[in-house]
Amino acid sequence: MFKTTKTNRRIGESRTRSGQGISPSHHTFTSRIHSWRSHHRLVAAQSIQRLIATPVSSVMTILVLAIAITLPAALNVAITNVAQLTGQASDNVQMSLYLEKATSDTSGRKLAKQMANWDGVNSASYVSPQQAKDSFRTLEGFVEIIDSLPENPLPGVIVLILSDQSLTVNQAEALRQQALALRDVASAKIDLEWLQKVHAIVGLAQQIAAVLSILLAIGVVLVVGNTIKLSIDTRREEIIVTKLVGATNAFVRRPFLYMGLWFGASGALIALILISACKYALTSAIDSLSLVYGGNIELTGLGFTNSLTLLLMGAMLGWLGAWLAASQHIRALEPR
Amino acid sequence: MIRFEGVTKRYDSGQEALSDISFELDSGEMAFLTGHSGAGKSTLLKLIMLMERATQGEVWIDNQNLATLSKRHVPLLRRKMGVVHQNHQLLFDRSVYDNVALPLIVAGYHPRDIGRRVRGALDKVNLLHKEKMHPQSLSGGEQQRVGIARAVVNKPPFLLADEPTGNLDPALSAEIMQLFKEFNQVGVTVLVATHDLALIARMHHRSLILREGSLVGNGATKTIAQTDMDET
Repeated sequence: MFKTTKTNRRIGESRTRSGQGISPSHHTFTSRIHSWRSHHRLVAAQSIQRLIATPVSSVMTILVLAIAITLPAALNVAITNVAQLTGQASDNVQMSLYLEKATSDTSGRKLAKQMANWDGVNSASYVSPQQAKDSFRTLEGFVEIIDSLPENPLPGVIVLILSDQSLTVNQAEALRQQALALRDVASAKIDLEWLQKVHAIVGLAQQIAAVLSILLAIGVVLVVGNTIKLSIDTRREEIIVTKLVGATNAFVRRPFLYMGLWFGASGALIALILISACKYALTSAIDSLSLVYGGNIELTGLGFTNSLTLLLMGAMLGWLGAWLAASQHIRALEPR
Repeated sequence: MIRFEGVTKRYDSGQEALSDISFELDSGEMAFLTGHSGAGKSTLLKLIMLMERATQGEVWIDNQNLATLSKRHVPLLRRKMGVVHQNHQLLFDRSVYDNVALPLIVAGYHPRDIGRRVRGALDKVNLLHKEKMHPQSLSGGEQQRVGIARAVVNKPPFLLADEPTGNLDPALSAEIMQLFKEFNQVGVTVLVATHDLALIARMHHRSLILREGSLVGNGATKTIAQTDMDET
């Protein structure tokens, strides 16, 4: 029944080649590296096949991960956009200086010229009472009111555009005080309060987003960890047999680490798609908002670098979750 | 070389599976390990492949004291041993070929070598034509032979077998034993645990007899089979 003579010779031959045959590893170092690399490739491919083999549960897990990744990422995108908007606003913060009624157009213009040279002031322009009246007349409904008045009630105004870099709230306030100290300036108005509020809210939102990011990152690790644990449970027998024939823990762990990596990366990929979809859905709404404000508000997406970072982060978190689950459960699975 | 020096194995339950066992098996020797079920045969084999560790005494493999072997080195020790398990321990989710290839993949062999060696081992047990089949579609004897092919595929210096003929008829058992003998003839140290005394009697090899965890016989088969039968 057995082909004794032929195979005897074969085994005998290899035994002479490998000396005593004590060491099973008589292959060279480079071939070891080669087979290690090809094993990684094989395991990476096999773990994808395993994910595809159980499509429903894989998709469920990936969707949970995608949502967990989308939430903080989308929040961060939203915050970035709001911060950018308020940043644009602070680029041209205006200060309006209302002059005394008695101030002449000539001294008003002179004053504006002086102020243009002030530190922290980008430009200064004088609006005479007549110009102010004319601009009011262009507004519907104001014509009759303005014309019915016995004299022009409007004062001359100097409009200061504050330079963007120097604009801290304190500096702006200092400029206001400097202007108020002048004899011709009756009152000065600067619209900083809302800006401060927005900055505070953005700061708070950023902190909330950071906390949320950490919590959901832990969530991703736990979800992947649990999925990998279940996968290890279903492959108990295989793990034990593999260990029986001399597999190291690292060898047994490898397919699960790749699985975690794919889970995390696919979750992040879906998250990227979801964020892009949200951005697309909001475009028309933002366009009409942009019209109202007469500005050019444009939504910023994640961008290439951030998208790549998100993908890598997802993959890393998945790998970490798998590593935690695998190193804990595989070590415990010893042949008995 | 396998050497036991005063080895005792007590399980956590307090049950003493082996008591003060001492023997030495030279490299290239073939021996049987026999005794009734529960006598400690499986425990003794488990101590050699480090599925269990001795409570007292020392187990030496090739001048390596297993008590001092770190967990990290256990896989390397196992690669030096082909083990044929009573319940085959085959994986039913993959082909015969993939089952036999497992020890080679684990040890990091080049894919090119793997095919050559797996086919060599399957040829040796005369199952080359069934390499693509799955183990569940094979007969018990064929499954056992797949297990043997897997045990010898990386040409280990040691071959251990735990009741390899347990569920087989006498003719098949004799063929399996003949196979072990052939491996021994090319220099492999073979230790076969079995309670098939009739089979042992025909083989003319050394036998280690266990009774209730103690070594009660260590010598040529015929006399031992005789004494064992006398005592029972």
